[in-house]
Amino acid sequence: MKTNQEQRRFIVLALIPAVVLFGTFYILPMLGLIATTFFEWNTIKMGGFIGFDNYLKMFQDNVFYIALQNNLSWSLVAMFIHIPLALMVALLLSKKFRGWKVLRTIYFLPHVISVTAFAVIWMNVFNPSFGLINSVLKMIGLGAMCRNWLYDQATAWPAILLTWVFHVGLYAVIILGEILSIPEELFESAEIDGASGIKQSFHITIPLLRNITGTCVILTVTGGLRYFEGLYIMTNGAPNYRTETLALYLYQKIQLIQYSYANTLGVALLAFGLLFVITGMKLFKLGKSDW
Amino acid sequence: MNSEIFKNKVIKLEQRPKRSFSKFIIGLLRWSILLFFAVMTAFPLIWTLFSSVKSSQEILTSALSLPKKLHWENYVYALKVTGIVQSYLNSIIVTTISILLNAYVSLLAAYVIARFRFRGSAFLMTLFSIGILIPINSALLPIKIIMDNLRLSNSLIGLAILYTAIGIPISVLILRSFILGIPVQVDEAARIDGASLWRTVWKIIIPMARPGIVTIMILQAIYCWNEFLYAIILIALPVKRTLQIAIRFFLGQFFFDYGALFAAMTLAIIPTVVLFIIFQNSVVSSLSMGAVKQ
Repeated sequence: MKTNQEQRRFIVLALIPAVVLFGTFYILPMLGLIATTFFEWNTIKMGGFIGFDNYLKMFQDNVFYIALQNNLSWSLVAMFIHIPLALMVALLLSKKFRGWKVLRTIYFLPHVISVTAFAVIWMNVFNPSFGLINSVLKMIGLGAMCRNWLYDQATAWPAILLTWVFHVGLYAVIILGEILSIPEELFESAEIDGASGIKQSFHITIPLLRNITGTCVILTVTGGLRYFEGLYIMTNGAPNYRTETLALYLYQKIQLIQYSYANTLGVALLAFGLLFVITGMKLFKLGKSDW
Repeated sequence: MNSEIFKNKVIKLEQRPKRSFSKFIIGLLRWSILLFFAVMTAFPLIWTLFSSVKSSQEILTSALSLPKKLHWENYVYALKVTGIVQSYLNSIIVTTISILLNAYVSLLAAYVIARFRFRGSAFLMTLFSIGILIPINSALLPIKIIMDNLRLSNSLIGLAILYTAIGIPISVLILRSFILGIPVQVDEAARIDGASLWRTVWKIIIPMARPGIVTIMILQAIYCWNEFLYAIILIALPVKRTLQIAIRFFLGQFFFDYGALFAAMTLAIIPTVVLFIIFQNSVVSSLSMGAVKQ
């Protein structure tokens, strides 16, 4: 049985790199993350076992709730505004009128520019003295509405949401790809039945996009939970923790050497993410094919 | 049946004049929506471009006007102060190493998972599927400690290895579904001809799974190029900063020289924009393919 032996050797050797890397940078960190939350660890050296103290502390921490609330509102805006807008743009582009490719390219640009670079650009857009928004407001005679958008407690978080909510290019492109792969005959038969363009969209296209829309919802929610650099650059949690998120707060706690508390926040982030993803998968019945 | 189609066509023709007004309204609505999104995207970028050739004085006094005189010295100054060339190189090094390594490691794993049943194969699949869902930023501290202990911190190669690992679950799952689409008979034919499994992967699977490999390489490249959190916590030496980290330091470097800041931002974004415009068709098609294949 030489082939069998050769096959076994191949399986082991081919899997080793992936398994070692996955073990080192996924499994080990996750186990470490959860285990260390039960210990005191506010210096370089780890201290003694403290049970659930970190979790109790987290549930009494006001900033944690602000961060959680921000993550939640981000996820909801992503699900109920961002993705529907992307769907709408994809449906409009799918008519393939003259110039649709140019528009697609423009919509996609923010996704090839790094978040970091765009964050600096947004800081300039929101800048109180020469920023784009205040300049436009002054020009159209609404100078009274000018404010320091990113540092005003009332507008800081909405301003952050504004930096990405209209940049629908990535998901529009993904959904568009799916729309264009829908068999032409479905539309032809609808056309024969006399269905108008809008009716076709609502009765044929949108139901067929359940799977891909669900995937996009999950991608955008997990992407939002991962989002860090923009906030770190634009506000770093200011003003008065208004723009704190779990990822940012966790990073700030590491900088303050509150290691085990940082990891507790990491567990919260992990739980929040998994909860949202699983709900999303259930909601959209992902993984089941339509045709 | 034929007459029915004909009847419908006739009805349509009759309706046309009545409908043209509502068609016009729908068209107007469509274009205003599409243009709104285009403006939201393009305006800040065009504004950045124009501001990059203005003097700081001009930016402060008339932010919306076109530049009166082109201040190219902003660019000269930005290039001199930021060390942007070095950080560009660093980002290119990390991204290149990582996409190659990630493709190699993931392809082998995906091939084994797609083609062989062995003890633990289902478990491995489950692990990778969960891996996709994990927000890896939550493990920032444990990963930093692991990297420190492996002496991979402060090293571009270390960063590339970490990014490779982070990309493994998604790459393996995408490649696996591409490999499942290749008929098994193709590899069996190669095996009967006496090719080893390694040779089969190299000569048969790589050419046939090429669209999948391109897809994961593009996804991995976008991830590596933009990654910020691990880069900022693992790289302390200024000469090893990746582009994203360098951009973060621009803010402090220019203080009130806004023209030069805008110039530095333009330098940071132009190359990827140009690359995207050249390769946009393959980027766009592979992105939609990758998402579907998951």
